[in-house]
Amino acid sequence: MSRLAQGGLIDRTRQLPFTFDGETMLGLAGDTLASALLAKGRHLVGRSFKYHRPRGIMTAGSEEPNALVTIRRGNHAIPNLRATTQELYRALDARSQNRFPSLDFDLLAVNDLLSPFFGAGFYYKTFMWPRSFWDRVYEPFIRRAAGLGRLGLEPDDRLHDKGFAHCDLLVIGGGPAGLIAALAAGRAGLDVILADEDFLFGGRLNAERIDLDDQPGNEWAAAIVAELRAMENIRLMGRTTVTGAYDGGIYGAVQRVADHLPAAPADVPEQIFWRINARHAILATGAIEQPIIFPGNDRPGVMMAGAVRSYLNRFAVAAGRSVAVFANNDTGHRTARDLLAAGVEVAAVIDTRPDATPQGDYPLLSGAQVIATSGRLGLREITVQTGSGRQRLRADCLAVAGVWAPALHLSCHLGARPVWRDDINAFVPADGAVPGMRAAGAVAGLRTTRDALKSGLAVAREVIAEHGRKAPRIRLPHCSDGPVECAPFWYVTAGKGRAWVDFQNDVTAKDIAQAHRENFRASEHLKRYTTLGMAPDQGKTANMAALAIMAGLDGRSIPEVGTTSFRPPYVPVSMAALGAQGAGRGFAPERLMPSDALARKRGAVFVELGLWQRPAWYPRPGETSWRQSCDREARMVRETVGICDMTTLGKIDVQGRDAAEFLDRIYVNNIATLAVGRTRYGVMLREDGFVMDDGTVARLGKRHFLLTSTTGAHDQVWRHLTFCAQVLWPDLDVQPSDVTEAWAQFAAAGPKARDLLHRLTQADISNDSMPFMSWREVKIGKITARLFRISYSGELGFELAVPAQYGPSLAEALEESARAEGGDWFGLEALNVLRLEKGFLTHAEIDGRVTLDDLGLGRMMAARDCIGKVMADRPALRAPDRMQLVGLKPAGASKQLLGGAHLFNPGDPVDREHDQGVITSQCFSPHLGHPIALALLRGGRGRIGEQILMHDHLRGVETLCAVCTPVFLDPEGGRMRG
Amino acid sequence: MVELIPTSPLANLLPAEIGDSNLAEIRPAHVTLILPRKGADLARAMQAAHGLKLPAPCRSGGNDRLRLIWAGLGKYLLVGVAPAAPALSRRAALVDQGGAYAIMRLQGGLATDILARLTPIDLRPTTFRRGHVALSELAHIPALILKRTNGADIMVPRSLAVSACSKLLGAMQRVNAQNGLSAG
Repeated sequence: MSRLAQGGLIDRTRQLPFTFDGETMLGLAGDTLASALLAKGRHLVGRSFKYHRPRGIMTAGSEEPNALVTIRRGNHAIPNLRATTQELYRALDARSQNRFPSLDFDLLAVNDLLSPFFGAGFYYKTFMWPRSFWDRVYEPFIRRAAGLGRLGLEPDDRLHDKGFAHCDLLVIGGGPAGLIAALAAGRAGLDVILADEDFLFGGRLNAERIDLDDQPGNEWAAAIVAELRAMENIRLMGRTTVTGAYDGGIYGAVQRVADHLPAAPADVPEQIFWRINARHAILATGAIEQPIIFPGNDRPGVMMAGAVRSYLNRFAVAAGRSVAVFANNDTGHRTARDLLAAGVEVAAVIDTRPDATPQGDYPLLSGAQVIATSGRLGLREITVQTGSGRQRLRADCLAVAGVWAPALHLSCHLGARPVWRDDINAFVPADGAVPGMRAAGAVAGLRTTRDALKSGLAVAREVIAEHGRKAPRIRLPHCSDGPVECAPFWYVTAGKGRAWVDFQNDVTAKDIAQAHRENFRASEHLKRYTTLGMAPDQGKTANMAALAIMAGLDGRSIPEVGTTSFRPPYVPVSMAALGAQGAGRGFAPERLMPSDALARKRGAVFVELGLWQRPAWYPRPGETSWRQSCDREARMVRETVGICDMTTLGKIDVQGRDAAEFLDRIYVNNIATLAVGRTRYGVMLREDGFVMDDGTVARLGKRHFLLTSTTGAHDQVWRHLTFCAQVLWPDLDVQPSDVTEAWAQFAAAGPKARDLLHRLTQADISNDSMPFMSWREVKIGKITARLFRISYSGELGFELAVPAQYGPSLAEALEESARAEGGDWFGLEALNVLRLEKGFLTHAEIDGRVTLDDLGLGRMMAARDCIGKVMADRPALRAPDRMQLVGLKPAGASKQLLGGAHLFNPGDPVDREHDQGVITSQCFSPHLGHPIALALLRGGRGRIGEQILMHDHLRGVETLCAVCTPVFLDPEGGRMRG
Repeated sequence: MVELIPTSPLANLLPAEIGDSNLAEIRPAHVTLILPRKGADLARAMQAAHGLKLPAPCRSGGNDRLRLIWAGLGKYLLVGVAPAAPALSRRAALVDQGGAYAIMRLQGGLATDILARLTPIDLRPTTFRRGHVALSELAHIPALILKRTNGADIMVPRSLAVSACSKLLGAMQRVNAQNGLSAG
């Protein structure tokens, strides 16, 4: 177990110190954490999930089930990283997981002694009774014991990013098939993305001793990569795992930008989650070697043979001093030859095939099986069953050469099932599993380098042809590897002791047998009953053997047992990468009003409405609660004047010969009769007859209107109008446009509103020349503004609109003028009080379930047809006991009115069956001196004068209320008309 | 009497230069939405009045002083000069959108990479060429993106300008920093 004196794709001139569980070691540039640990003779790197068994490095790739570590510290700690893919960097600080107090001595290993009780189905059977124990005893205990690594408790503030990429062809995997496909497509002029999860392109060419045209495989790969790098139409994405295949040629991919650095430099994201849009994809993800299952197969030192060759050939690390090989195929012999060539002792090759013959100078045991292993924290000895008896062999590493199963996971992400091939004992991707995706190389079931190259080139040619391009001529190199003979041998039945199938979730062959006994025999049942394949590695090294064992138990074949489905992501993806750009306010941009800076300067308290940031109130010194500010602001409007930024209201400009007709069809009330210079309140319905929105309509010209919509409903209204114009009535000459952003609009309301405006404009805005519900253009200095005489407060009110770029400037001018009149800004809370006192509506009332009549506006319905009119006439929408809008005042000792509280007849049970209605909005009215509310009450208009009980189930409040009309103040409207 | 002055929400944020990329605000004198009336021959009038063809979907025409941009079904934005009324107003609704947009000009060799962090559209130079227009989103913000030789103009609603600008500045920083990483 040591670094070999020569060879390998590592940089021996760059030594990198790192620590593992506090012990400092030296590795080399080009190492993974796993190769660096193995170079120091370290097999034991973790404890298993359930039984806390000592576990060692098993593979050399992202399929690794055992070697999970945590790197970095505090809130930057990253748990559950596979040591086999983590690149080594200077001062890497890695810790093993799932052990206490230390890796060598773990107290929870007591679980292992209790394992007879912890078999498959244990949780389902044990924690059922007594029932009350689940919450208080079982769950907290299981939660403490469960889990692999731990996250920091503070938010992770490291930078992650997301991005979008587009290409003609996405090549997934940079082994021989992927490289040659990318080369061909690149030379043909296609836009190609080549993604590989490794930091070194080449795949198995970097791990095997295979020559291509007398050139070592890794050098051949490097030469291709150099050519690809020089092409402008090729984008090489190393350290990038394609994690999912989605509809429409979309693939998810995680690029690890800074995981190989001691720390990401400032502003460099740690990882980027890419959404890749690819017309075609070539799946060249290779294959994953599957273990042969035998008793004691989880002892540190038992590894996959392909991994042993990776460490040997790529990292120049011998995984043991004396290595035994257990094989069902020729790659076991390849492993032995590679080891011998590097000067490593080969204890024996144990080949399950009786007819196996030696392919080199090593002891061969044909027709033999490993049936036991020993060694406390690492392998010391194996027991082999041969035709003539049992034999013990000393070895500190056992390389297991099993069947190579295609890494076809992405091909299943859209729901396709893979196809079984008897000739190679493996599932391969189904044709057309993912539209636009083709498989090439080992994932397509090909077993030699030459075949992989050939298939990579062939699928690339198909893609090139579909793009209407000419495929370049590429001569395939001669490859030194030959065909691999493989026996369908999956598991050893002889011997005693547990044989591990799913290493990450601690599932044994015995657990599978138990599932079989209890009739959980379908692959999906097997998975859920035993948790097989449900760990973060999704059973990459477990599923195949499990299916084989289940098949063997009842005489079925593997395809008859089936395969479990694979879902994204292919490897674990951190939430930080998935949610990149979405942290904090990232997911919700902010819409700022023209008076935003001014309001912030004034210390306004903001509330979000839609995405708009709106001042809720403007606290003054000495005011300690929002109610004080709100009451003051509401009184100010009734007594002097208040100003409010109304820019958030939707504004829609409608022009055209048929504009009036268009609006008549949309609004319930007549618009065509509106005179130029006048404004009207309007309501529109949805097609189903319920109220969509209300607002004002101003007639700017004969063929020119301006509508307002509610802030929160604007998008819906604008979409509706666009739909009507483009789809319903394309014959009408009408040109709607959304001008919400083009105008800044402010309300000035209160007895002194006119005085305030006189400070800004010389226009005649007297009641005679500008009565209630009229509008006109006025000059504010050189700027032409629109002034609307409308009121949402019940006071003398105007709304003044200027082109948006003048908004901030107007806000300042308004503030100055308002103060001169004894007024000031008022916020959304005061606005709510003012409108509630007048019984004006918001979408708390227009909740999508109310009709025009429910709101007491039934008389607005014009005689002609309009959208929603027919459906509004349905009997259920005209029933007398519908919820109707009323006002409520407290009538008993309790004065509390609560929004959302339900209404009941006094004396009735307060349950769903007796529900009479709901409070939609409420506030404290400073002018009346008590709370008031709007409510939707069953048959409400006929119950004015009656009493009703408000019962709030959530807050436990009951208030007796008097039902009244929804207009609490100035029912004649003299204040706003005057 | 008061004189109102025009202001920009980006005045304190732009221009900004990060590495080789820079982001600046463009404030054309006029931005007008032009919506052709039914059956009107706007194309001829536009040609006569401004010497511009009506652009096809996802295209624009003109120059730095004056540009006509396709802005959706039956919608064009005339940017730079005031529309020639009445020749145009007889054939189209003209709606002043001067204050509706904030326009940012992103320039530099990494402009495409920067935008690719924020918008899902295909920005490949073979697909999205000079003068091309995309109505898309930029980090959840509706945006009109107009391709220029060495970057793009990005038009966003005024109320969202600060959010959009900070998204762009953030992406400029990240891409620039990452570019330094791979170069070094």
